[in-house]
Amino acid sequence: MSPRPKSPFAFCDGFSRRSMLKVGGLALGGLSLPDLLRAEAATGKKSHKAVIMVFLSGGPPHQDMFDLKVDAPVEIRGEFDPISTNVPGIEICELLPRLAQRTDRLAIIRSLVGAEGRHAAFQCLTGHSSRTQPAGGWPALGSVVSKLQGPVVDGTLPFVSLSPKTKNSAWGDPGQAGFVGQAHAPFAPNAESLKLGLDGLDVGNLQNRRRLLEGIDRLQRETGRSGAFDGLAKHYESAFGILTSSGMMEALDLEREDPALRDRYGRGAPENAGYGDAGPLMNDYLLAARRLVQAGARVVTLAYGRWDWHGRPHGTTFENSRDHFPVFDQGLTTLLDDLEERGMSDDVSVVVWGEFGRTPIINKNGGRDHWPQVACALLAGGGMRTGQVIGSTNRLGEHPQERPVHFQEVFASLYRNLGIDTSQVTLTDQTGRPQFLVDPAYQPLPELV
Amino acid sequence: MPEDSPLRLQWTLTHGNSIYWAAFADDGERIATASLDNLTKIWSRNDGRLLTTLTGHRDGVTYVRFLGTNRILTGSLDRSIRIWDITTGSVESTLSGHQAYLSCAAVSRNLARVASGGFDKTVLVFDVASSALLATLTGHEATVQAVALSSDGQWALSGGDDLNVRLWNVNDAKLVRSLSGHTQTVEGVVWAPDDRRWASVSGDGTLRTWDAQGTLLGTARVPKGRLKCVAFSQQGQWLATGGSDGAVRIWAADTLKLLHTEPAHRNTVYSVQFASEDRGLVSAGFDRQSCVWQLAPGSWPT
Repeated sequence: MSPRPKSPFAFCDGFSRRSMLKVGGLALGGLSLPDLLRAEAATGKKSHKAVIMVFLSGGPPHQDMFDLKVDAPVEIRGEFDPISTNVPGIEICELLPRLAQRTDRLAIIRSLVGAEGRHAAFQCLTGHSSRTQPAGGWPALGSVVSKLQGPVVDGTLPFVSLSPKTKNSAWGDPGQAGFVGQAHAPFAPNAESLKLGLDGLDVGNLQNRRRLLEGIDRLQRETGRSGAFDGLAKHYESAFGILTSSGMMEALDLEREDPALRDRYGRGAPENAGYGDAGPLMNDYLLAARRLVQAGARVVTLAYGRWDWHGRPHGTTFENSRDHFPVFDQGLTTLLDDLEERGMSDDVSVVVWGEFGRTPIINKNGGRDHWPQVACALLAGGGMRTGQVIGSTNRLGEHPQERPVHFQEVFASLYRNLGIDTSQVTLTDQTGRPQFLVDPAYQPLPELV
Repeated sequence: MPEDSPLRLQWTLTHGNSIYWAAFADDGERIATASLDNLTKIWSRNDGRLLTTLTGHRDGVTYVRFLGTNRILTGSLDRSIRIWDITTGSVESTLSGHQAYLSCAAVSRNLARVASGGFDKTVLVFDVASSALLATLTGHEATVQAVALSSDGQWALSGGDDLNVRLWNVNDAKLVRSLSGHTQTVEGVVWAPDDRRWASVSGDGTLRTWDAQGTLLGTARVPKGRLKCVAFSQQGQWLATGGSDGAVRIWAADTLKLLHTEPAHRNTVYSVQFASEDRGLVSAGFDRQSCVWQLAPGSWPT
């Protein structure tokens, strides 16, 4: 495990942001204080809390990933063997060797309950069932955070969804703003296209961007005249590039990223995964999520792959696992490493889950069907206590045996990590009625503190 | 791959999704691949270049077979069989009749008949020239996962989730024999080129050979995992199998001695086919890749 820098955004060659800005500030004489403050904020001097949510569309098989049942009968057990991790006593699937070596940075929930059982991102995005919604509808996590905390810096967007448009629209749902209002809807650049880009920009966002770009253009003109970049280290230029550009837009432009880092993530396949009705296994999106957080986003969500594996003729659950797990293993571990290396992991919570689990019994087509009774989830970063498993299921993986964890408890924990006290904070719905962000019966998971 | 391996990887052909079948043209110059991405692609064997993509199926393509120089036949999960003019990319005829996914198909060696099997537990046999349905073979108690036709198309084999292999007389649509022995899904069946024997593979990890009447000749087993597909070489002396471990295996057809194991794919191998001159092999896998292999002169097992 790489050592964790004490200060966020510390640079490996000894430049600190402050010294960088000092150099830049001296060179950029003539810039206004607001320019510098904006620049300083945009470089992340005040690192901000954020959440990256990876939605495994369709429901991942908990018993084949993080809760293997080696003692179960053949019709349940599955084809994979468990492997040891770097945390004694915790085993996960043999197809996830990289995660196994980073389990000290994971909190594995094996007893996630409360799934409403619907094929949709809704519950993972909002924490609530779609069946019982207040007036205006439940807002997604990112919309709540947008409402309560606003942008990190002017010109940035608190909530970005990278989920692509999918044939099954409920999987590509970017998240609804609900009763907090459309001003807090996600910026969803992929919503109209399967290709990462800017196709989904609406007029409001464009106007926002224009204002931002006008200011940036002025800054860049000044910078260009000063020659301030001459001789500076490459990473300094890179950081300054984020500072002096429309950062969120550039965050989406992965051509600007170091190709070696993209390779580490694994890039991924742009084609739709599985049956073609869900998003692709695009590790580029995981990298884009990190870049967006770095550029100011507070919540970034993405639908990743297709995990609804009912079996032939579209491949057994094990064939699909062999297809998805290695790509997922590479992408997620690189995201965790990337956040760690940039000193962001204490601030950025990563949550990985799907809408439900899969049936213990393997069906006649070699698949596993829907199983809302129990599922798994991964948590990492955000200052959470990791290197642990929370909860357990019975011998056959049918139901929780110890410490059932509700979706709402995970949400309470994510809000806490973002600095939002769910026991106190309410937002009013469209009838003016105050609504807690999560049911007051649920608290942040004490195990994570 | 070791230097002395009898299989030399020539090209890796890719689709956006799993590849369920790959086959050489009879002239050996081209290769066709059929994929879950709903596409059929035709490639140059000489340089691995994509020549043509056939679009039109509304679901995954599970089978492909060249019909001479300019025509090709495909089977799809969309329940249809299509015959295409490769030069124009247009569909000449569509053969339909399945009431659920069409999971497998096979063309007789004389190119006169095509059989298909599906999730409707049924085997259909069509006349390729007229598209007429010749026979509906019913009796399977579960999904049909594999079919094969003898050289003249008179005899059909089918197997699937009910664990039995059925031998049919297509001309009168009658079941000749139902053969048990496999303990998991029958995943592949194939006639030998001389029609005097046939082979089957199963999710139970066994390869079995049978005489034409259905008497078991031999059984071999892989150490772990399922066998998914099987093919005879054009001269009938070798069998190739593909399995859930991603390996392509070559066996002596007479003795079922394992001659070579090639770690070919990162996922289940869905199809293996020899080239007409037995100097090439093409495999297709769930890993979205099709591997074109050269059988190295002098090192091929005898």
